[in-house]
Amino acid sequence: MNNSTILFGVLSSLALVSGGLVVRSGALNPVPAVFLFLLVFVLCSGLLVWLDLDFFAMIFLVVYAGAMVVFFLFVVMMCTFRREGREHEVAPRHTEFVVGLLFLSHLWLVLERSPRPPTPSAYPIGEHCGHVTSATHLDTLGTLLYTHVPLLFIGSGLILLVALLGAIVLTVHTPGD
Amino acid sequence: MLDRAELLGLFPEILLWDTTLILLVLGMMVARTPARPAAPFVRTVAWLGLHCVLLAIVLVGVGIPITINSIHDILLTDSFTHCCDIFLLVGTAGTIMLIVDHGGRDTLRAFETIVLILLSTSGMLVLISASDLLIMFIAMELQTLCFYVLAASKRDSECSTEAGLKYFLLGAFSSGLFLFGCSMVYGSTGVTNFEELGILALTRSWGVPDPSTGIPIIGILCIVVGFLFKITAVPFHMWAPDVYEGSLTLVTAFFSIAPKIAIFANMVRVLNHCFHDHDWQSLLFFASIGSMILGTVAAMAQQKVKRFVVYSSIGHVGYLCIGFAGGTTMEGIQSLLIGLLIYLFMTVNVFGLFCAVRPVRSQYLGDLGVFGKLHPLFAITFSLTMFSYAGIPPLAGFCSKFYLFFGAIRCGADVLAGLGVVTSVISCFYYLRLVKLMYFDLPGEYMIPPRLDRDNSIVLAITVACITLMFLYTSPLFLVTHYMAMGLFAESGVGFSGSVA
Repeated sequence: MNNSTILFGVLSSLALVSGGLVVRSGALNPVPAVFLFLLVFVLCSGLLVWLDLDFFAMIFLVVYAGAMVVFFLFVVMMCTFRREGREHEVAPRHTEFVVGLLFLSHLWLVLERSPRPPTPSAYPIGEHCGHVTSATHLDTLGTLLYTHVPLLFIGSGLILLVALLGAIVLTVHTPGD
Repeated sequence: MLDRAELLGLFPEILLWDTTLILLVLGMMVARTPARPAAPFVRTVAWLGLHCVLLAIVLVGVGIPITINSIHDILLTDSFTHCCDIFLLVGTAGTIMLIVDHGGRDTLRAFETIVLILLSTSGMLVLISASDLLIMFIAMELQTLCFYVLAASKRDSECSTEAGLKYFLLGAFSSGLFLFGCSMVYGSTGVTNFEELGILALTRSWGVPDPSTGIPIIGILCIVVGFLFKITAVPFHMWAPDVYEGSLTLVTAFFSIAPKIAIFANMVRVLNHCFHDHDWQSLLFFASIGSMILGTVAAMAQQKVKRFVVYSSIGHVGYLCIGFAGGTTMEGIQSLLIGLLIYLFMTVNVFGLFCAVRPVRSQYLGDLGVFGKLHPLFAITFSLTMFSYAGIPPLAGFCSKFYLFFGAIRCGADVLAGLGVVTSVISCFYYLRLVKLMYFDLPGEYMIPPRLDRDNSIVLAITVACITLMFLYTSPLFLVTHYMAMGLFAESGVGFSGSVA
């Protein structure tokens, strides 16, 4: 077990725990839940860095952690929550145990039958092919997205337009209405 | 690298996008002028939007339905998508025609509703011709995101807000499930294209030992469950009654007409092209049985008009799912398409009638009493549509149910056909109860007689004529649906047609 594997384990287990805590503490008080949510995104972007997907890691930080969670935090802080008596509404503990048990048994089933990954040979063939000029993820993504599948990109743009329009229609009060 | 031939196939979508943007800018400029009252302007936008949809029908119609794989194989145009596009646009045009009159007058104050309807229609057009899991998801999101906003568009009503929220949460959940299925499929096969997935499934059914484990069954099931959420089939129907009840009647009309066509078309495409292993079949079988039973039993207990229509539409989704019973056979698909088209006509008709009944809020079925005397034409139209929903012989609804059951028997799904007949007979009870209510019951207080406007009357006349006179000359319907099914099957299983680019 080398350092990289340990890093992966730490990041993913922290993300798992904080993801569970988001669900758990969100019923009691939403503000810590939002912060834990932020933590999940940051840890996930760490995992993406671990996978060498640096561009997506940055996007995770910028869009998810920077924009979305801040928006959540904004809404949560603006709303006033009555916390009295809500402690009893939390789902009973044994549901979590059942879910956790299912998860662990699933994990065991997967690990038991998964084949061992092949060990990389010491002298990989064609190791230096394709590394003469290296394209970053951003280059590759730009080429694919803008030239090869532009319709996906246009479609996402339209979805953003609908989101903007929806936010305006649903929240902006004009004096005429 | 869009070349011209590929753009030609996208002309209706491009028209819708451009018109939508123009209408949006126009609306923003005019609606913010303080001197202008808002209500008539909705009419103008709706009228312009209607013409845009009609123009799109013309554009689709004059295009030659050749098989094109365009834009790196993510869109596939053939005779199936061609006709489905036309059906969808006709349904949308019918709904907008209802809005032209009622939108300005009653409750619909924001012109953005029309803009959102046009945008979601363009999303559904893309969805019909989608040939890749990615574009399919994006088109589906474009459509449903518009629907979330439309459902919550009446802000001062508590029901509408609740409907929007509920629709959003459950819709996002189902999209997540669907996306998880897509990622499972991609993760274990490495392709997202429908044809390539179809080839993989084909090699597996030939017994070729494949290097991967094939398309995982859990991924297929997640995708099918996502579909079942969207078409409100039974185990996943729980959002539909509240959402349809809460939103405006005009919006509900759009919800229950247009997405059914688009999602059924896409579902047929996916199940026919990618997953012809029939791993999904038992799930659809179950959903069909459940929908038929629940649609029948629950509609019996309803007192409100819109809830009644929703449960009846759930029942009809169950009947349509029978079309999938024999795997994807030609007859099954053809009967599904016939059923879908006839359902479209009947639903446009029913909502045209309900939009005419006022006051709009909290309609009860009992309010329909004495309409037989107040407005005999309304009552006759309503009775005909209800008879057609029930499947009384000379009407169109009978034709659709008959061919669905016939297809089910042909492929050996006798249980499904038998259950369909039984639930259909039981459902006659409550459809006939409405007719009885209209002619023989005397409620304590009288309603204001419905006012049918010109556009609404045109829509009603056309749909009633289709429903009643279809049995005289059914061959165009059968030819068109056969042609569509042929277009669908010409592609599947072979899957080696080259792309234009």
